[in-house]
Amino acid sequence: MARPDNVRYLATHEWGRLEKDGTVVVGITDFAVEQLNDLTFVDLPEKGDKVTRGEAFGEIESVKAVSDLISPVSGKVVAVNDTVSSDDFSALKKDAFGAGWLIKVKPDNPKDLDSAKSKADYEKQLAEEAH
Amino acid sequence: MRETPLKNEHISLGARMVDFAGWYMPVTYTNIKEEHLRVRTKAGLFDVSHMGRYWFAGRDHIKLVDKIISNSRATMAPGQIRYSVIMNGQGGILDDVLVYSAGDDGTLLVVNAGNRDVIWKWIERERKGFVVDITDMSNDYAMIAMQGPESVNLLNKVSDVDTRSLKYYRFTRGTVLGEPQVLVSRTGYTGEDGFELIMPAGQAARFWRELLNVGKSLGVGPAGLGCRDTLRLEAGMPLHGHEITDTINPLEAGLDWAVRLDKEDFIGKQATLALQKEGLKMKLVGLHVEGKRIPRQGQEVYRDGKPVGRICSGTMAPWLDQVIATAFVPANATTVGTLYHVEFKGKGTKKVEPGEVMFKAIVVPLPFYKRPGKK
Repeated sequence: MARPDNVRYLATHEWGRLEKDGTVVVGITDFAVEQLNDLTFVDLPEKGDKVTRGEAFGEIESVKAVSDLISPVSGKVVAVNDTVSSDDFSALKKDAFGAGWLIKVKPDNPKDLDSAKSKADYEKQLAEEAH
Repeated sequence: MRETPLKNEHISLGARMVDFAGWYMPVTYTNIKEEHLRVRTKAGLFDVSHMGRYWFAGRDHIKLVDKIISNSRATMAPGQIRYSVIMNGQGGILDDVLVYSAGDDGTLLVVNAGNRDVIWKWIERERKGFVVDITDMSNDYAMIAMQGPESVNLLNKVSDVDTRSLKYYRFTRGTVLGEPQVLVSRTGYTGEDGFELIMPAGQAARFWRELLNVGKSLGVGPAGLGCRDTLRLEAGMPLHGHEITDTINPLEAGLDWAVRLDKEDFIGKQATLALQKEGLKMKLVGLHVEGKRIPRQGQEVYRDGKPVGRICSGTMAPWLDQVIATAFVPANATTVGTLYHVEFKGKGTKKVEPGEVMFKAIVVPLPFYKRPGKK
């Protein structure tokens, strides 16, 4: 899968994309989905909840492990992907950067995203981890 | 990391490789669920070459084996296999093993990969004074398990082994894929019918490829360590480091049947007798857990709001489509139907409403799964 250039990446395999309306869409990368493999459960916040940059906003679980979901921005949750939230992972597996998004956040400071990685830096990290 | 002779086969099949007990091993080729269901309905091929294979021979070898194992070697018929544990002096389990009897000629011990060195050192320590010859065959031979209802048809296609007379927990030697003297046992770690083959390491890659090739029409595919764990847990089989450890006694783990307390002295016998006299405090049970979340090793098990036990293993059982777990709980509350709880603290908000943090965990009989037709 070609990873998009218009999103910012976290070392912990989440991504964030600043939308035209000023909100930030948050998801996990195709690499994370691939690594988790046998997904069984996801715990996402609800609309109106606060999330904090660098802190867990939920959990995703596979047969083998539980992982925290880390937010790339601080702000208020304005939308949640109901399909994924009801533990239907088909969209996440097919389109991690599109239909498989997790939450939409109204950021306190959209510049939060600037400190996240570019696609090139994220892919460099993946290449290093593969060794 | 240590590698098996099949490493390159796994990589070329696109396996997801992980560090397992210091070994570079395939965890999945596709995904756990698909490989699990394939083993339950067709058959899967597992690389189990990382396990240790120790050959005992010589005048006193049966005596030495009987000193270190809990089951009885002396009463085994040639060609028979028994499950056993190896205990330390305190009655804790150092490893669980399969013991193969070749009569007076020798005994094969198959030990867990993660415990190869511990057991080898244990044997070195205990062999003093015995006339024995012990060979570590682990690296010269490879081991492939074929597991699932189609295994017997696959073996019939590639070998001269009479599978009708080869009963469960028996072994023989036969010609497989043109290679003579391959050790074939009717054993496994999945709860299905199946066989484990021990062949020279140099033959392993050819065996692997040809077995997959011949097996294709039977629905046979490669199966990784991921489904090996979910299969063994559904089948209620212990995994060292989880249900059994060096501080857990086989009686606590429900392995009484593998401990022959009527046998002459063996390591761990006195401690086990003492524990039996004193009475067990904790015992292993199987749990059905409500919901979709998987309890993990070490997680607490609650009764009437108080932590009273600990989870050993948990998974979403692919065949049963149910979250299952094993746990140590108070020995006086192990009846089927006994209600326990496990706790899941949500990081999001989905499961943190009052009353939704504690999930029911109900004691069910072990094994969770029994293959059709098996008593």
